[in-house]
Parts: sequence; C-alpha cells; structure tokens
Amino acid sequence: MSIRIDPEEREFEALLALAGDLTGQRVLEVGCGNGRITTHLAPHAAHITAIDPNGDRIAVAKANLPPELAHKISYHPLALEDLPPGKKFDMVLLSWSL
Amino acid sequence: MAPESMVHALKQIQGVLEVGNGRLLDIHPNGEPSPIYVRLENERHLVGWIQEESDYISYAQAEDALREAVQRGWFHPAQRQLITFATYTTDLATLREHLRQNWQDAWIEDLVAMQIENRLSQLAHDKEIIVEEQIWLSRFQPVFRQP
Repeated sequence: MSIRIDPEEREFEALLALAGDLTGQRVLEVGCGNGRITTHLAPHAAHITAIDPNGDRIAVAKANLPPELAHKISYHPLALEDLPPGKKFDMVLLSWSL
Repeated sequence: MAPESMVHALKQIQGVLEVGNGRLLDIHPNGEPSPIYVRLENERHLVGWIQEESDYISYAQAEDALREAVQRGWFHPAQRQLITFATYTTDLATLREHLRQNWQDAWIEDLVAMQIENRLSQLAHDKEIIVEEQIWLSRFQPVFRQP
C-alpha cells in the first residue's frame, strides 16, 4: 500500500517558475493543509508562515516537518481573517484555498 | 468559502503584500472531473472519474472572485498556466484514504470502484491506480494607488 503524489514534480516546477526568485523572501501560504507544498517551497525562501483553519491538518504538517526545515516554516491553525495585523510578505500563496 | 468572503480575502491579501515585488500566486483546480486510470504494465485503462459534492461550484466562484479583484483594481494578472499532475496508488483503499484526508467532498462511485478492483485483479506484474488532476497556476501583482 503506497501513494505517490506528483512524483514528477510538475506542480512544484511550475510553481517555482511562476514564483520567481524567492531568495531571502517571506512567504505566506494560505491553506497549507498537511504541508506538502510548504516543505517543497521552504528551501527556496527565507521563511514561510503557513496557515490552515483545520487544526488536524496543521498537526499532521507539524509532525511531518523535516528538522532541517524547522527554522524556515511556522505552521499555525488559523484562517486568513485571523492573521495578526501588521505582517507583511513578499509572496502570498493560495493553495487550493480560495 | 462564500463568494463575498473570497473577494474580501483577496483585499486582505493585497494589504499584507510588500509594495514593489510583492505577488500573489493562486492554485486551484480547473473544475473538470479528474479521470481515474488503472495501469497494467504499459497499458492505461480509463475506469471513471472522481466525484465531488460542491467543489466544482466553488472553483468557478474562485475564478469569479479573482476576476472581480482585478476589476476593482487590486491586482494585475501577470501569468497563468494549466498544469496536469498525477497521483499514483497501489490499491483502492489507499486512494480512498487519500481522498478522505486531502480532498473534501470527493468520492469514488461504487461502479467505478468495481471497475478498479476488476482491473487490479487481472494478471499483471506491474499495476497501479492513477488519478490525473488539472490545476490553474496564476500569478497576480498587487496594485497600490498613490495616496
């Protein structure tokens, strides 16, 4: 029993090409789910704030967070409207969440 | 998310983006049902489609919300691309569990499930289930008016 999601990385390659240079940039991912896209983007950016209103999915994302990316990703069980005011980002990614 | 909430969310996103190089990337399905195949060795067999309760409506509403955000002058559309990617599983139970965890309101009809099991029961050394998804990837630049 196994599952492979986009092993050819078509989605990520296209996403990275569209995002442009993320070096040193702060990203907000809205609807991060289990962190599938977050962990692929994190090596390219300075930091990702990843939010999802589903606390169970955030728990899975935290459990799957590779230690080497722990300083680059912060997961929060939040909806977009509950994001603390005053934060600014270089890129916002709506991951299947609009 | 209700359509008016989507538009409100896009206004909020404009407000958290940096002036200059800030950008919004959106990923959402194109709204077409995702086909399910069973591959036996080198042959692919179409066995049906993933069913969704209400998501196809919300995908269209997401499109409308993005169009409205552009019309209101909050964003400028920069780039858009249609991508096809695949998910591969060895058995039906794993695919169903994947749908339950990651794909709200999606299911596989009984007749399609039977077709999958029938195909997988055929003599073949190398076999798997393949679900193809088509998604729109879009990039928008925020527009900031001079005070």
